[in-house]
Amino acid sequence: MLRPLVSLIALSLFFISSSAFADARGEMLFGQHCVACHQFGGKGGIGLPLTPEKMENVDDLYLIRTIQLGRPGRVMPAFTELNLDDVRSIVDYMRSASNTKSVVFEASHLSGNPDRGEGLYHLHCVTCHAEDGSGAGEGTGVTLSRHRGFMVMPPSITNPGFLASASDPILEFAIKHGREGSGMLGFKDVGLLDEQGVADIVAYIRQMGSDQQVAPPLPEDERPTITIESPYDFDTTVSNVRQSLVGANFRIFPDRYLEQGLLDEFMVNKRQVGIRFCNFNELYGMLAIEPRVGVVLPCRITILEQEDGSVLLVAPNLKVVSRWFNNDNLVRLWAAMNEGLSSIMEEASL
Amino acid sequence: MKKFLLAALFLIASSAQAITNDMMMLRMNIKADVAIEYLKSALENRGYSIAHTQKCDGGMQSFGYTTDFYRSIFFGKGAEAREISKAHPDFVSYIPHKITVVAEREETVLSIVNPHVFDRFYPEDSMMLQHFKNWHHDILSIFSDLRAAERAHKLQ
Ligand code: HEC
Ligand code: HEC
Repeated sequence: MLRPLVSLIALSLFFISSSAFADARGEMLFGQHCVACHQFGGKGGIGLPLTPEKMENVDDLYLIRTIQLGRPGRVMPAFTELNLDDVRSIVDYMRSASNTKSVVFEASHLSGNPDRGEGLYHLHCVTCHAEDGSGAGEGTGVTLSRHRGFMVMPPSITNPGFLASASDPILEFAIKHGREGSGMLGFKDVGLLDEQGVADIVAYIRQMGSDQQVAPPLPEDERPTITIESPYDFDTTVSNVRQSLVGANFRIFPDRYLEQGLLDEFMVNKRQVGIRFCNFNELYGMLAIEPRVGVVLPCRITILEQEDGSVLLVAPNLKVVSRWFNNDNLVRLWAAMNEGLSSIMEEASL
Repeated sequence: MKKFLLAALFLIASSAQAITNDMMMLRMNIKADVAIEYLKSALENRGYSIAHTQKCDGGMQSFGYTTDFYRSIFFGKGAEAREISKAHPDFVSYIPHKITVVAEREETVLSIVNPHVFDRFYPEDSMMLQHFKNWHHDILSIFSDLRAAERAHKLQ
């Protein structure tokens, strides 16, 4: 009688400790890879909130795929360097921390009609999720450090990573019951849509998803900087650059030598100078789209005199830089800005 | 031949290491004005000089925008800067390194570009690839120093 009890206790202790171990690994990985954007306790940041209420609305497969595929062009990276065990331990940790279980959905029986769905989508969803489903407003999640147009920034529901992660029942569940604390209603719960209407919208979302454009890969020969040789001497080039920038309405900060602060003052090469500039209006708009732009901005054109006396102008190639954020809205904005920057540099070296 | 093999091995090793996250980020459960001081000492302890601190928030506020604490720290090593600007003048836009420190209420988020994003532009340049690897490694070490500093701070 006693023996089975003892082994039962031993067995359960084993399970408790091995799951505690798995949890610790999951917690460590979540801390390392997710907390910067989603915060502990899932309060959200650049990423969406991952609250217990939300965890009750999705199954583990959705979480696993979301981690593996990310949201291409929509800030969240694909964690391809994590193996399936690691991904599972993150999901297990998210489950235990939120005290929730994977949801089992009933298979849906309705087939939706995308044409009917289109009308309903425009009636009920377009103000938040935008014409093409990519999410209205600027930015993602609930970034706290600035003003936001929505309680929670509506996610892209036509993103290829999202649609490959979310099954139809998950989409239906989200539309029927909404998302607590985000401003999105439960459309069936409040009687605005019936089962068929929900299925029609899901069919329309899938159709829009198959038309979504992601930014094409960069051409192979694109370089990390725009580099131009100036026909003028160092001092003339510096003053030309300054003039072009003022002409283009930029505010110029005090110059800094490239090596300033890195070497003793008397050793600093004074023929390598960075002209730093910014347009605060534009900066503010960029921060709304992408709070991390400070890792590149303010912009700087560096002017170097080389040993043979030739003078170079060097600036970051914003077409390349914009790719590092996995944020297609920034890719579009900076493609235009890059043109402006190139022409300022060309003007200065005409 | 041996040199070629070594270079090939090196390439394989470094591309296996390459990770998909182009941005390296750390959230600290400490207010930004304190976190930035921890960051500065962690950088200096790892042998980097701090070139300067840019107050982006101040600039925006003076233009009438409301924004929280937003700073960038520029840091680097003098000898490296000199070597790279000579060998690769087309790289100088990314010298010194730059890390942003942004407040999210009581917490702080640090972001920096993963140096491995540059690997693809210098596929055959072992000096540059080695720099990218070292910088990546240093950033990871600095992040782990900061996690330790955060734990110690909470115990105070
Ligand atoms: C008031 C704005 C608003 C309206 C109107 C709205 N949504 Fe949403 N929706 C949101 C927000 C915000 C979220 C994210 C909430 C969260 O995750 O915390 C969301 C989430 C979703 C999700 C889940 C996406 C994900 O990444 O998990 C789906 C699917 C969705 N909405 C579809 C719809 C459809 C279909 C309609 C119209 C029937 C609609 N929404 C109407 C704001 C809205
Ligand atoms: C660089 C920031 C970033 C990182 C790092 C990140 N995410 Fe995300 N995550 C996002 C954003 C942004 C979205 C919403 C995309 C949108 O708005 O369309 C999102 C969406 C999600 C969703 C869907 C939420 C919903 O409402 O359906 C889940 C789940 C998720 N992330 C989990 C994770 C996990 C787990 C990790 C760590 C392995 C992680 N994320 C790392 C930014 C991030």
